[in-house]
Amino acid sequence: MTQPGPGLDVHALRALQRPRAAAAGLAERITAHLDAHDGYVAFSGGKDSLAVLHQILAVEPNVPVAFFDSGFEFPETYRYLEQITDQLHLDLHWYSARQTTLEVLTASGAWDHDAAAPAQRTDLHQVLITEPASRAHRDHGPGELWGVRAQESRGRAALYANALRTELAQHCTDDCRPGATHEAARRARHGGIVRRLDGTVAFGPIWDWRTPDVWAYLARYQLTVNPVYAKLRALGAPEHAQRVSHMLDGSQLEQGRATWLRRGWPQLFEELAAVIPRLREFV
Amino acid sequence: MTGHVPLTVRAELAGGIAQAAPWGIALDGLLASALWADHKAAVHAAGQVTDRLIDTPDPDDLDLPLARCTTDAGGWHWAATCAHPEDQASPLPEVRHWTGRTDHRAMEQLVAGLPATVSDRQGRYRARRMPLLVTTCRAVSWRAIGDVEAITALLQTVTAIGKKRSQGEGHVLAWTVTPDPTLEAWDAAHLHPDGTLGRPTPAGCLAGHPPVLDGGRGTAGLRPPYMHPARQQLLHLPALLDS
Repeated sequence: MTQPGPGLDVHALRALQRPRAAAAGLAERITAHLDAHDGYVAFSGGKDSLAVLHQILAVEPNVPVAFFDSGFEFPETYRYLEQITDQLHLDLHWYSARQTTLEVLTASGAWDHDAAAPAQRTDLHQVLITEPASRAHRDHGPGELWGVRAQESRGRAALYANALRTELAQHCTDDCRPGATHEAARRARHGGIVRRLDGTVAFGPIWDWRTPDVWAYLARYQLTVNPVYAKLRALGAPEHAQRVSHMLDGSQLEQGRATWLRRGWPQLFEELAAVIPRLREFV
Repeated sequence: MTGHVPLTVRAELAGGIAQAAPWGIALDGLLASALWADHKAAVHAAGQVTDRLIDTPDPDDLDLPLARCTTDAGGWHWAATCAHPEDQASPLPEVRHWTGRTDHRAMEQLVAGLPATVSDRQGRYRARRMPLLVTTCRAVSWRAIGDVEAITALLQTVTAIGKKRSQGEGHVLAWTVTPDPTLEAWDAAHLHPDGTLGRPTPAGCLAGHPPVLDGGRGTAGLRPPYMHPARQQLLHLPALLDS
């Protein structure tokens, strides 16, 4: 008697999903963005930036790829970066933060009841994102392509909603004004662009994708994803807890971020808890 | 030592055990906590207060009814393993959740001056919705070398083990402590029944023995009180529950 098969393969099923209609016009928008602003692709090692990176490589294989190193990524992420760089022949540029995330957390005094609070706390976003991005813009131009999605948080949804309003008001010809065309067409033509005061312009090709859309895209093109996702999924971590950016900061601790770290990376957790003792309050 | 024999301890559970650590609860830790609870009760009954362990630079070792395993380097640990689940419903933990929210009324009564806003969304008083990882199993077991009667007597005071005991997790239906003369002494002190490493173990303990599957090398406590900084060492970690 033959052995029964493994049953329904969800991964294969995802790959059969019809790609989002908006993806049809994305290549032209990516080309237009690179032509107008030059710049780089921000790659974090996560699923969203991988989907974006793959779309952009199809248009411009030599695009510079920037990795902003927090010095506090999962060990698997560093190995994955080497692997994906070889697989996709990336022109990868490494931008290390001037202070690692752990150094910032330790110096904040917030993670140790016995530590004195500093006169001024370091802004983690400034150290991890703003400064490295500024260096990357100096090297490659004012454009940026990223995998930031509106679904990820209220803040990001508001960012894209406001940016779309501004884009329609300031950078749109008459045929795109409200009422002239369908809402979906306006979003497809102008959505995802964020113009900053410093003159840099970010474009998120998958800004309005939902999480299943991203997984379906990665499955369709059989892209190698960061193994941290599989590890977190195997531990039982829910979708919102499956994150691969720096291992820890002040966010989502109240939702068990440190719990998954302790269970999946016990050696690392113990080393971290020795430096930031209050970490144990969040498991 | 006289009266110490290889043995197996088994806790029959009502519905499993909630654990944050990636390995089971240490038997020597359970026995130490039972002894320490008795000690504290006696001290408090005499009208005295006990020092917090964190304020004690080098805590004393309690006299547990277990044999000691010593290494060439002079270190030692109690001859007992961490809990190993039996009849697991699934190899993966069941993820439940617990929630917590600051009681603002109680805080007003406790503190003379409160800030205008104590946020539920950020800062140290933020509301929590935390995962609770439960190993669903009929029982957990330990191996050890020790005094059967003394261990049995101490464990009778323990009615629940693991996290969230007051919410009903880890309820123990019955304890059994059974001598096992067929068990090799070293195996009883270090290995789970499946042959994997059963406790945080110094490298010196493993020398001269066949390789065993462990949870890697990392910092962990060697003996109770396990969380105390003075007890932290670089050790071979027990095999992971989720591996």
